[in-house]
Amino acid sequence: MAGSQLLKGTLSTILLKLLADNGRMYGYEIIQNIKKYSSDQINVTEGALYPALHKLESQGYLLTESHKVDGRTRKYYRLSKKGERATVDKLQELQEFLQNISGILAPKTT
Amino acid sequence: MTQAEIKAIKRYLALNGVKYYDVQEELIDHFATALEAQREQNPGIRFKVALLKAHRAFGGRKGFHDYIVEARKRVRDKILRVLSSTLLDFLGWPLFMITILVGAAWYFYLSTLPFGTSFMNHVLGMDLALVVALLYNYLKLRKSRFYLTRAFYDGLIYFFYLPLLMPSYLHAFHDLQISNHWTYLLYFSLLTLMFFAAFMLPARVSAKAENLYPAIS
Repeated sequence: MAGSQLLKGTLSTILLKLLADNGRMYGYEIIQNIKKYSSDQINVTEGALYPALHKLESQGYLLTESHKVDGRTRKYYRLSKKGERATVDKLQELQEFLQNISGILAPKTT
Repeated sequence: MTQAEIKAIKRYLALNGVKYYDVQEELIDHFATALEAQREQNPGIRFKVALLKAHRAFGGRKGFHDYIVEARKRVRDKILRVLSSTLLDFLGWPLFMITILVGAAWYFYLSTLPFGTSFMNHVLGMDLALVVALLYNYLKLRKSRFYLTRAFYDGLIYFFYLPLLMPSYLHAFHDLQISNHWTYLLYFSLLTLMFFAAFMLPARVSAKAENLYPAIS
């Protein structure tokens, strides 16, 4: 399983990217998708997921809508216009960071 | 998932401290979906076992605790927004007109009192009316299913400490006798406005909470 500290810094970017690819999603669905795409290597706990989603919502990156599903209320999240712009920026930032990290970690050829 | 099972999830969440609709709304769906997924994988699994598994996956008691702390903070932020919009609605023309009329009534009443009359009884009478309004709403809302309403009401009580304690301040700095009608006119008008607010606002906020979080049947 991926280190929780590493995951913590990238969770919001992962969530934005998932929502950009899938449109609207609900909490449980997001967790299952993260598991699926990471081949069960990344396991986001609900205790970490919902606060992250709520934070993105309060920052204006996500919009929510509630629907009745089988007698209960389901809350869906989707990107706002601001969230769409933030996704592009954050993905670029993460990719640059990963390149820098791999540059540092790559064996030195002298 | 049957309605009885959804109710059982609600009860289970309430037992674990997630007892208000606005805090538990998202969790009910989360647990129900988790249970359905477990049933797909293992059709023979018992409801209770599946529920405990979902609880463990959530992070057990600590997971709930972290969620509740975050959710309550979120609801508190929402309170400020609901409060400001409710206040704007509340401080509309009807109340403005009523306050002016009551203020005028106070003015004419105070004018009839002889110079040097003590105000203490009037102030205490208004405070008593305020306490009755607050108590009435406390009894009415104490079993509210919404954390938003409860937290708002608690906040309102703190807000009303000021006018309730005002007589002590007045008593400390003045002799509570008629020397300046306008000071007391302003104070009584403020108390009147507070009385209307204490009486009417909690019910309005409760109605807003119901709209924001439609009851989960």
